[in-house]
Amino acid sequence: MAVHCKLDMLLRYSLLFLLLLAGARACGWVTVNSPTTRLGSTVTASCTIQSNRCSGLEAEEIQITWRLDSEPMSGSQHTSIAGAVISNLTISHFNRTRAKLWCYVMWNGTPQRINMTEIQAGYPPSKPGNLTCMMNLSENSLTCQWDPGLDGYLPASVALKSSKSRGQCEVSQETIPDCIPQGSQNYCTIPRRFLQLYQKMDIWVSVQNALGTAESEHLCIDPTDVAKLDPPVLKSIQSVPFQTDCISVAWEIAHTSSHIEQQCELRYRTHEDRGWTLVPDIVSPNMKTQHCGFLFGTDYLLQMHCRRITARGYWSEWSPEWNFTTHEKAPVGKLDVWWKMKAVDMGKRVEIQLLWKALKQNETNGRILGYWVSLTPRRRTGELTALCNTTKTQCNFSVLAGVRRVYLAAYNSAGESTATEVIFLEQKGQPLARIQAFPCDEHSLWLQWEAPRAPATGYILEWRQMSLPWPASHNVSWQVERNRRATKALIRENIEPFQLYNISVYPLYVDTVGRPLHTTAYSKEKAPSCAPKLHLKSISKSHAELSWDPVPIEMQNGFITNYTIFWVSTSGHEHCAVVNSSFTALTIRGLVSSRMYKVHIMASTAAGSTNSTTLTLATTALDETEIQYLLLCFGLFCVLLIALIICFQKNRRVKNQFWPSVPDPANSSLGKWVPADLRQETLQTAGGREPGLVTISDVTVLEKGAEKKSPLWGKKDPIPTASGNFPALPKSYIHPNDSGLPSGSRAPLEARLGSYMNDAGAVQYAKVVADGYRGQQQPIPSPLYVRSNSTQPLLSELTPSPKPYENLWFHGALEAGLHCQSFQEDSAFLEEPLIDFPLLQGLKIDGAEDLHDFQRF
Amino acid sequence: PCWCVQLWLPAATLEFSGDQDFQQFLQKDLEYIRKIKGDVAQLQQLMCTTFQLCSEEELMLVKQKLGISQAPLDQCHSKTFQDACFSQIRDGLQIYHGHLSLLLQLLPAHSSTVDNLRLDASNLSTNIQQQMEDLGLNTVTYPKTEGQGMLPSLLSDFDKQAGGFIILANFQRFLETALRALRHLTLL
Repeated sequence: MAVHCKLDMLLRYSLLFLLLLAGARACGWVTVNSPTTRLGSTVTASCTIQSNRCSGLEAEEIQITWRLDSEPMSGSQHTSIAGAVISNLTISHFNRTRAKLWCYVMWNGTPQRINMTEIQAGYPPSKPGNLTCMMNLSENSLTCQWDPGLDGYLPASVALKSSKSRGQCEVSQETIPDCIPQGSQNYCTIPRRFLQLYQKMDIWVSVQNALGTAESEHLCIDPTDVAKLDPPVLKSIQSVPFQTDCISVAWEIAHTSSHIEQQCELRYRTHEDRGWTLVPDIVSPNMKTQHCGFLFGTDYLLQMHCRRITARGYWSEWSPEWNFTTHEKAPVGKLDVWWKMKAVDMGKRVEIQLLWKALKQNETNGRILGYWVSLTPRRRTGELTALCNTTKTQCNFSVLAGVRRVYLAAYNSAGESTATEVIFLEQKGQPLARIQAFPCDEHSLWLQWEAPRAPATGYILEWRQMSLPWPASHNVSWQVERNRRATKALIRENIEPFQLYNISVYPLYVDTVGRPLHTTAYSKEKAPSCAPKLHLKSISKSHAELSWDPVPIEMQNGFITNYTIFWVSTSGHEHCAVVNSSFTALTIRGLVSSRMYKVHIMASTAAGSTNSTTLTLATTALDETEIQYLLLCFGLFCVLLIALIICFQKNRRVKNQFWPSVPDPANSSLGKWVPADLRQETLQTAGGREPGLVTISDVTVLEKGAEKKSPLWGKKDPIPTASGNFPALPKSYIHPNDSGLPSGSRAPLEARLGSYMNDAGAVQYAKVVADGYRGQQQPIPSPLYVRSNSTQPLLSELTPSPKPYENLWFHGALEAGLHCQSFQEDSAFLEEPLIDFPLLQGLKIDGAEDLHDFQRF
Repeated sequence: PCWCVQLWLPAATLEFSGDQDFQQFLQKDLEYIRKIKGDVAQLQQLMCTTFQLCSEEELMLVKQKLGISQAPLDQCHSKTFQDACFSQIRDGLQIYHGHLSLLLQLLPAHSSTVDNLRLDASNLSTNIQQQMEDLGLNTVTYPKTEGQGMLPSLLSDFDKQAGGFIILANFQRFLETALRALRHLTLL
């Protein structure tokens, strides 16, 4: 024993020596007041450098620096009496859960790591809560779990502690080894060998870290009181006694819990049911129970679970499901019926569509195999008496017109229901005062009505989807409201959103059926699927008439509240007009003529709007009536013109009426001034008509007149090219055979004449043409009427009383004659006055020269 | 043989039968005994399937030869000494806790079942002791007769197997008697 003690001492000293030796040989070391601290607290550290033990630092000036992880820190440095350089560091608010504190010394300009210490920070463990335990009877082990509470950020040891106790755990009998949870699990299982069954145990959780210890509330339990039983197993289910709605259930409990008196619960449901029906508090030592109230001929699912009858504990899991079908019984109850009648065969027979509702689940007493309709209440053998035998809930048949009632019954494998008498009452009763439908949700509608004055026994609500194509639209949905005081009902069968329903309500009276009242409704609306297509019916310069087809019912998706027509001109001005849904046409007024417009229509429901495609239209320049008036005026003008021409041609007196005879200048004193040679020539020219009658004595005065004319011409036609044609006028006149006039000159001439004629434009009229004018000395024309495009000035444009030598008409006429070679009637027409006015003739000759001069401009 | 009686509290016999704590105590014991009975029956079944030892009647001679006696419960037949009955149950459970160790050798594959059964016997014994103390019953320590509670040396395998079977049969009977006695107390 003494030897052993000495050996132990020796070992201890050796270890201490080695540690001291290691410390003594170190170059520098870091100490910290507490390597594990509370987050946010102050940490102080010091780094000591023994430069004489640091090779390479002996001659250097020691400069200690700090880093917390990579963050530089500044400490206060001093040298101890022993020669060691010490740097002290204070970190006032340490907020890292884990960090390395490094001590550096500067050497050759580079900080060298000398030593390091690791610091951890966190909080003391928080108190674990919500400790619960459950015993597993298969393994007889106790599993406890808890809520670990807040993280202390420090490594913590968690243990589930327990002790065998007495009474209410006031006295601890025997401490049990701790149960250590694996990893970070917050539960632990105490095996059987450490448990004291049927005796209280004290159980708690302890959490410990470097900053402290925390314990949960203590749990004082008998492990068997918190046992979770293994689920029972259903063994048999049968209907007892036969033909009742009661069943007997037998089960077995798991052998692991067979010693425990148990309280069980049975639950059942049909396949259609969502929730379970619970039969609670089943305590039966012989593990059998009986329960009533099941539906006949119905498939049921049954399950059972149990727990300790004393101290309760935990419910077991539910047993596996057991399927059981109760036996069938003849259906019971009265069927709700409705009918549609139509007289056929000249009123001798009636076609009836009989509709009925399926029996309620608690009335079918099994699976309904079918329905029969008969003229008699009892079903006889054979199918002949049955008008219908169907599995559907409607049937069509025809009966003699006098038949007023039929009988309807449902049947299953166990029998048939009491027949329902259907009396076909006439629809002549008082209708409802008012009905209104409004949506409840997407698949249901509320129907509200005002009760009729006569007491009703019930109401039939009937509805059909309007957009369905035939024959689907023929099928109606319906329901009965048996409450005579009801003024509203919810309809939910075959109701789809965005579909229009036509709903009718028929009040039922004791001996008659009321006439129906109808309404329409949507369960939900949205914008129409399409907008109508616009058609242009007519358009003028200021208005356009548009039309459209209403949106088809299946596309409406709601009640069309209005249509909005938008039109935008090319200038960007947008206009719109709103019309209600009954409109299918609209006339847009106030449009600007000769302009493009883009038009579209928007169909709106309460839930949205849809735009159509755009229609582009262009307004006209003139109205139809304006065009008509214009054409009419033009026609009248033409007629008038033709009439005038004919008149002039036929009756010289008329001409004289407009152009009275002008005194003959040949007989004036002026004629004596005409030089002899010129007069000779003139007379030769005019001789063919009235030889020796005219003498032009002098032209000097006219030279002045020609000078006066030039500016007038120039004013009339400022176009230089046009002036080039004027010299041709006298040339042509004097040398009628000369056809040297360039044909290209016609167009400018026309342009000039056009301007002269102002707004009248080119007017077609009849002319008298004389053939062979150019080649003949005889100027007498042979009259011929042809259409011409001549632009001769209208008579109306003439100056009321032109001076003889300034009469522009003559020039125009002459030019017209030049302009068209076949225009000889003008020449013929003109020749006469020219002969009558020898002075003018001289002016022409002289004027031609002037015009030649003028041409040079 | 001498036997001594340790008096904890003034004697209370049947007066406490109506007491709620006592009834609770009885109910727990009854349930525990039922549990142990079930586990013993399970082991008997194992003995039957493992060693073809299924009927005690065939082992009467061996039983005599081995001298494995049943733990006494004679006090439980008396209506006057209820506390002595509890004491006998407590002691008997301790005896069977010891005897059942034989089964650990016989049924190593089911050692956890045997261990649990032994723990149950031990726990129930402890519970009864504690409950008697809590309820202030007289706890009686009976002097052990010579060889009582000690298993005779079983040399052959057959002796061991037969011994195991007899122990389970004795234990089952013991539990049955205890159950009847305690159930009787609940009715008083």
